[in-house]
Amino acid sequence: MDYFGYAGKELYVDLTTGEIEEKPLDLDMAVKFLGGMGIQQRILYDLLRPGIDPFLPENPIIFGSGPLTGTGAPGTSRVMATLKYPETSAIGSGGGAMRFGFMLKLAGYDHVVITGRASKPVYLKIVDNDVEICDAKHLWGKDIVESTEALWDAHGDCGVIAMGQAGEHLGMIAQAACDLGSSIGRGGLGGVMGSKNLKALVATGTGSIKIADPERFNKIRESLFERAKRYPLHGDIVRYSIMENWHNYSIQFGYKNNRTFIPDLAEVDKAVGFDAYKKLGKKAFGCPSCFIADKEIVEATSGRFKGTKWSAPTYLNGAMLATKLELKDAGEAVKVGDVTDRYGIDNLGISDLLDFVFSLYEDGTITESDVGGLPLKRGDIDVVLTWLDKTANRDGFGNEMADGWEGMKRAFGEDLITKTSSIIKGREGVWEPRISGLGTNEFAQLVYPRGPNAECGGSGLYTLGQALDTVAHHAGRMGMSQEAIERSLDSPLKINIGRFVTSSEHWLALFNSLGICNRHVNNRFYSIGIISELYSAATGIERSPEELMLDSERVWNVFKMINVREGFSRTDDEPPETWFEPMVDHKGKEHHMMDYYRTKKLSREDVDQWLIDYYDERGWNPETGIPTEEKLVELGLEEILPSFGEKK
Amino acid sequence: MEHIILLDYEKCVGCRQCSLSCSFTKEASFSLAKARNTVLWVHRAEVFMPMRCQHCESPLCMDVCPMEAISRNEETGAIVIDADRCIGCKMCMVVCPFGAVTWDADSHSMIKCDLCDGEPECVKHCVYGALTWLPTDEAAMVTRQAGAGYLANALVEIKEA
Repeated sequence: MDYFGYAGKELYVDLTTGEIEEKPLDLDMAVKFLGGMGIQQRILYDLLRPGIDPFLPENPIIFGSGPLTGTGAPGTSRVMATLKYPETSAIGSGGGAMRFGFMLKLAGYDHVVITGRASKPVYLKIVDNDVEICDAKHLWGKDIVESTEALWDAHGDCGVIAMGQAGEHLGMIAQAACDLGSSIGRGGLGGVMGSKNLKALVATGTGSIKIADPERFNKIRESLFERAKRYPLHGDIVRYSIMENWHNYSIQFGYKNNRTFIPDLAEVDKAVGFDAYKKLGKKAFGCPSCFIADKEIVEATSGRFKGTKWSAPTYLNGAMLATKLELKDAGEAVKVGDVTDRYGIDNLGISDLLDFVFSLYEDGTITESDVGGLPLKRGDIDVVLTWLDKTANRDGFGNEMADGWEGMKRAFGEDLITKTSSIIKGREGVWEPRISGLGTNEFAQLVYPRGPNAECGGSGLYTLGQALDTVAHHAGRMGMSQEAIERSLDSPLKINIGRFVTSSEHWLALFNSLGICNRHVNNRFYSIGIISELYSAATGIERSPEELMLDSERVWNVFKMINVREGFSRTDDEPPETWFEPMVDHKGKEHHMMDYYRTKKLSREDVDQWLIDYYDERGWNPETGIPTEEKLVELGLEEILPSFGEKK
Repeated sequence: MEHIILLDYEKCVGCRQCSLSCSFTKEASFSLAKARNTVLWVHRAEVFMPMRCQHCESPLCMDVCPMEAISRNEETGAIVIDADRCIGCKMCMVVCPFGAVTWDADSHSMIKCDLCDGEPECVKHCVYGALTWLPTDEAAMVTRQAGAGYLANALVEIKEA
């Protein structure tokens, strides 16, 4: 049978028995769940034993991509890792990029499903149909950079997903990395790989991704090229990566810590922000098919770490880490960025955790003896490096740090954490609504089944306070129906964020399922019309914009239901206490959580109402936050109707 | 006027659109193996190196071909293979210093860059300007200027030191 767009095969690998099985891609499933995240969530729904400890061998990890991955349409290198993540105990589809997903397809596979536990360290090699569980003794104990480079040397031009020492020690905040250019699996993918003794995966192949209607596909692809060439910010983005948008990002996430709350941005800029970044050495690189390469090897050009290089998804994460921990210069930011990525420690997560323990020390709640004698001095790079080393290796108090907020609860009690941190589903929020206002990305953190993350709200409203006609245009581009747009814009606060978020979530699910990069610099070139054309032409499966949006909603409901089965419900979507308390800036001014247009200070009732509106827009039960049987039947999901929880 | 594809590896970000566009044009599918060019990531040097046929003045592949199946297209300057004469001995692949001739196991034929009849798709799809299609004299000037730039930078560094 010929497959178009899709590679056409799935690989099942049992690391305990060493069995490797190949199955044809189920096209019926593909039609219903698109690919990538959608198919992975559906496969996992059947494979996952509810309530399983994520570190048990039976907990599957599914890697793979979508039907548009590797097709040469802009930014089609998305690769997903779907599993039950230990940090939040939720099932999620973590996204990454670079070569792995594309090359897995060239080897002939859309997905690889991994279960079991190898008796010794291994890596999985997939070179066309030569699939082998290989000895990884020489890689164990090595960091991600060393491991990836060793595998590139051994296997040539290939895609590599690898984890570091943090993963080997089953860190709940251990992630993995794709080809030293993209992190993947925030929330413990690295740790789950570690529990399987799986150091890395390697993929490459000599195959082809066939296109059902090349002429039709080409027409759209060429028009996208023309637009990319005309895009006025193209040069700036390649030059400055997503740091080009630093002023918005710095406000929306990261630009705060628990001591000074909101520092002086001008000072931050000079020390570790955009001004400092521009003085770093840089080599830009991109994923296969990327029109706007925004990944980079940055190099410190002055100071103590002069010459230190960091192969990074973006310097932004280093800047945020440095801001929170008050590091002195961009060289120090490069150093901590490099070290976290080598160990495979989630650099967003560790910045919040370290900020938390440093703050406890600063306000006199704890002393160094409470953290096993580790130094608690903010602003000292050597202190940070010590903590990173202990965390990666679960050494002393690093054992608590490696378990993220679970470890903090063990050490300091849940009350203290709830009072001082913005925890949602067991993880600190990424987007801070008290600085920027409660837009889609900020709100979506509450309802995102996987727990708060950078991709929350998908292609949301981003920058605060955009004009309403821009918002409506954006909504239409994302496939929102006219009726849904009207409902979303029917609010005394101009936008009903709860209703709006449902559509940006579907847009995210669509990108994650088809294999398209969701970064705003790529996303902006797409509309639902373009995606419908590309998907139909690539796969030969004719799908209208409306049908695709329905598919995407179906994917989201499976994503929700698999987490409902784990016991998640409305109570897990509650906003954190801290959101209703003010933050203070460096001038002493209080900042309260406002709406997207900053016209009103938001109360718990306001947010609750948006939650109710969110469930209502989705056709879910507003009291339980769980999809109704009616909704699941409407989406053709009778196959996963629960024998638990919500009943009509 | 004879043209060449000029490579500026410093501008290459490894997006591989040159390879994707090539295989899509020639085979209507996306593939690296079937592309007539390739981009190799040389991690120790931190460079992406676009590798392709240089359409040499004295092509070894042409010299070695026992069937005289390889010739130059006078109009475009491209070194091309006549599939009807080719016996698939792969000698051209063995001798090419750029690895520019490859064997396609599906079609059982040698494949290589033919400059798309003078309008190379790889160049059209390189949005980073790493590949340009230039008359040879102009290309010489571009490389000369780039070389002068390197020398000038080195001199500035020496002066400042």
